[in-house]
Amino acid sequence: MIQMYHVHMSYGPDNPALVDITLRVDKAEFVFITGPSGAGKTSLLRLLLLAERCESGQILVFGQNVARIKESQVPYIRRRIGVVFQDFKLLPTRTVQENVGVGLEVLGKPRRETAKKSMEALRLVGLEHKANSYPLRLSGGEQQRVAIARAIANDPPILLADEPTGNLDPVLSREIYDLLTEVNARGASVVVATHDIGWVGRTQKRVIRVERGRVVSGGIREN
Amino acid sequence: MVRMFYFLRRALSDIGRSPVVAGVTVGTVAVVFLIMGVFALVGHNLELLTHRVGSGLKLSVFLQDDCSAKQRETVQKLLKASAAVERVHFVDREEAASRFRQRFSRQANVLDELDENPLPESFEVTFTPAGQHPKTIGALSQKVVNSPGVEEVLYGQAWLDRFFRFVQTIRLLGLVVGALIFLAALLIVANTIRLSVYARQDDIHILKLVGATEGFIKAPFYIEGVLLGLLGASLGIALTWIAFALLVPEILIPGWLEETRLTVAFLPFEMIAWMVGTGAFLGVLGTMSSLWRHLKI
Ligand SMILES: Nc1ncnc2c1ncn2[C@@H]1O[C@H](COP(=O)(O)OP(=O)(O)O)[C@@H](O)[C@H]1O
Ligand SMILES: [Mg+2]
Repeated sequence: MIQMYHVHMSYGPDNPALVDITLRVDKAEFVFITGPSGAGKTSLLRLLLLAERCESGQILVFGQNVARIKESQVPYIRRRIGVVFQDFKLLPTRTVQENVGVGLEVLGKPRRETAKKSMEALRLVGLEHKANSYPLRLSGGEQQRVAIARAIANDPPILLADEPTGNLDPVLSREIYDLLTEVNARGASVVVATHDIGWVGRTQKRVIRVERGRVVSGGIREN
Repeated sequence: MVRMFYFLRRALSDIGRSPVVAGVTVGTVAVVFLIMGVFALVGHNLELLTHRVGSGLKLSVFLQDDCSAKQRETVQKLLKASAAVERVHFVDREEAASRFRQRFSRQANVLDELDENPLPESFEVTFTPAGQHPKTIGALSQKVVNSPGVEEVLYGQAWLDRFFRFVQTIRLLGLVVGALIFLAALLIVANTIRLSVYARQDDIHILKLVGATEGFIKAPFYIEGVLLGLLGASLGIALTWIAFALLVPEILIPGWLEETRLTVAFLPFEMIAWMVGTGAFLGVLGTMSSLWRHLKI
């Protein structure tokens, strides 16, 4: 589903962020990307989202080499990748349901269909009763669940999450991980970047360890 | 179609978010189109006047006494070659004399007292409706006056030229003023779109993340710009009409226009359509320049 071969990326000439990254995430797999702050986890996810471009190497997403893809093709890749951030990135002036529907809006779907699908996604995260609330009236955990609903509303084959529990306490974090696990169980590949190693250790998921821009372990599944 | 409504809704919500800004923009654009409209109105009526002036015009080409038959033929061919010319009538000495007698019956015996008929031969040229323009007639006269055998060409050029220069000046002034205020309107529209873009920064960011194309993000701003331009232009044209209806009978008619029995016309449909189109174009151009500077995708 996701493959990276010898990928290099930098922010400016003397500021390499990722060095010779090789890794692979299979269909319906759940992997963590861990490493200290500044290791390059966010940069890696931004590469997959095509928000950044790599200098060299190959990046295959859905079997397509996106490393050299045309800018005009980027939106079509993004429509098949859900994404969740530490700071939720919800629009405060739109209701919860409208926030969830934003990814369906860009597909030009009729309003009724958008409303229906976003309600389904909200039900999955257990927040259908908050559909008409505004994000800022919700708790942090609820806001993140709305963000997850938005990310999965269009049933993307890949879900990326960057420090999804960074702003949440352990109990709420647990809820979010359960939710991500459920999304994974429904067939999506899930990639979670976090420096929260304590919790990751207790799961049975594969861990890709990144340090100073390099993959130090777990890049390829061993079995 | 679904998309069109979606874009329209977003554009309207942008306008609705800051109705004062939108109102001021439409108002400014309206004033610009009012000024353009007044210039167009003056220009249009001067054009009508020019045609009226031209419609009675005849060109008289007087030939020299020693003009040869060949020269005469050359002149006639030259006149007939012009598409603007309807008829070329040759007035020989006899006809000239009989006309003179008719016109000045009291002094008719003046001619009889002379041994020889002093009146010159001439060509009398009338023009097609499309050709009855002082400019066309002036150009033809310029061409003919230099042919061998031609003594003089008459069509009342002196005051026509002056009138013409006046019309040209008005038109040039209109063009310059129009261009300048169009630029001002462009800046206003661009600025309004810039405000909308800023207000939508977060939306745009999220839309990009979930896979919105560039066109999808930009389209509502174009619709907003076009709406502002169209509204402003329509309002401006309406103001022009009101100004026309209120002022023309009071100020213009009692003056010289009444004496010459000229009615002042409002802008014709094509001109109005042109102005509305210019309004839409203004919106597109303003949005384009604003997005180009303020929306990096
Ligand atoms: N936009 C940026 N411009 C310049 N340097 C950046 C930018 N984003 C991240 N970096 C640098 O790239 C490195 C990796 O950062 P990041 O991918 O955010 O790490 P992580 O998410 O693991 O904390 C860090 O050294 C960081 O300072
Ligand atoms: Mg990070």
